Amino acid sequence: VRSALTRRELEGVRARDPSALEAFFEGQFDRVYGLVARLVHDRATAEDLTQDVFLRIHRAVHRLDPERDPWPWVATITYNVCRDHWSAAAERHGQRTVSLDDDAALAASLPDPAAGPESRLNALQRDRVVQEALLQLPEEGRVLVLFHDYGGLGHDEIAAMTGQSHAAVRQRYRRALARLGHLLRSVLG
Amino acid sequence: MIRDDELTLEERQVQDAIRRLPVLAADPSFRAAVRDRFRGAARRRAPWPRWALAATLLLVGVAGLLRLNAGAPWRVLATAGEGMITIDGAAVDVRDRANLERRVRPGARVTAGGTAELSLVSDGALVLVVTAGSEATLPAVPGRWLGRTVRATLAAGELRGVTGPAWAGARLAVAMPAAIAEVTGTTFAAIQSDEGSCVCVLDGRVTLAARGGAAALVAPGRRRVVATGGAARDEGLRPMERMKLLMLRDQAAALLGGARP
Repeated sequence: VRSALTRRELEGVRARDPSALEAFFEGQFDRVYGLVARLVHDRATAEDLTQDVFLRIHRAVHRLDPERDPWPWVATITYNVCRDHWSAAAERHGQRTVSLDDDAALAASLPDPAAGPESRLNALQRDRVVQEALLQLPEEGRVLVLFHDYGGLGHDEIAAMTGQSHAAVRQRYRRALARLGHLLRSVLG
Repeated sequence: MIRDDELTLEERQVQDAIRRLPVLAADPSFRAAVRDRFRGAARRRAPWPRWALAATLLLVGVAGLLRLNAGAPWRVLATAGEGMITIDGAAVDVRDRANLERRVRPGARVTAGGTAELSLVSDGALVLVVTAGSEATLPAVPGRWLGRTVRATLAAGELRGVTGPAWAGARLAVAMPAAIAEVTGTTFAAIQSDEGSCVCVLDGRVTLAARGGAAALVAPGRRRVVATGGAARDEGLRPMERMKLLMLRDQAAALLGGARP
């Protein structure tokens, strides 16, 4: 779902008109929060990061292009905030950011793929399992899948957002899907 | 975009599962707080109207220009004698130099009592001596480009002055009861005594105009007196006046630097 704001309203946002800002907020907040919450899956962290996203949006709103759908721009800010959060967390905990190119084994905390259809889960459980599987992905893979399939961004927009080539984004996206497929084999279809 | 037919069945199922994930809703109070801050920040940081911005820039520009234009401020060069110097009604012992320094300012009314004498300097521009028994108003310091004509008054006594290189093009008008002297680069003395208003010129250019009368040029080495009744006379410098002005010029030369304009 793309922005419902008109060009004129987006110009009002650029000019920091309070009513235009409020309309902009209403159009973007749920998507930002939803995406961040899926990416970090922790309410307090999601709230902190969402707050930071809107602070950065406000600081940079004069750079918003009223001719274009603002969502890719907002999504890029969201991505940057999450990336900074992960970098800081990795530094704090002496962790390294895991890449999809790495061959580290994913944790196997999900249902056994060999389990039969009778063990398939209801919708609520299924959502929880999908979320768990997402969290098993390295951050980069989570970003590629969630921004594309949950956030609605195209691979070209994700490539521009992450500074990777379009081909690399596609390749890594498919690799992430494959790993999720492996993890979710027991609950799919 | 990857076409669906490029994906395996399992990959398409994963896509579908991700796309069907419900939107996670934020706590309503958190959402409202962020919205209020987002709007409130806008209210606090609303850009200034163009006219206010232009006016502020203009004021800042004018203030900067005035600051750049300002000449070196008055400071106390030396004091001599004994007694009190009264500045704007505050009597200060002539030996209390720090106190004098604090009070000296353009337009200050200065009275030198007893044998007290106050020498002031505006670096590079002017040395001015308020001699004992004088009652004067200090001139402003000439600006670098604007406000190049400044004004002092002498009600009684004697002001002696020497101009320096930074004075070039500036003018000092010394208003006395019977006449006004106009100084444009010189070593001079303005004297107000019982005989009238007088100006003594060691070198440079000074004019003296009786109140309501025409200005007359006073040549170097000469003195001109305008009596209270308006009668004027021109005569040679007296030896004591010449000696005092020569001494002042020599003392000021090192301080002001360069040739006098």
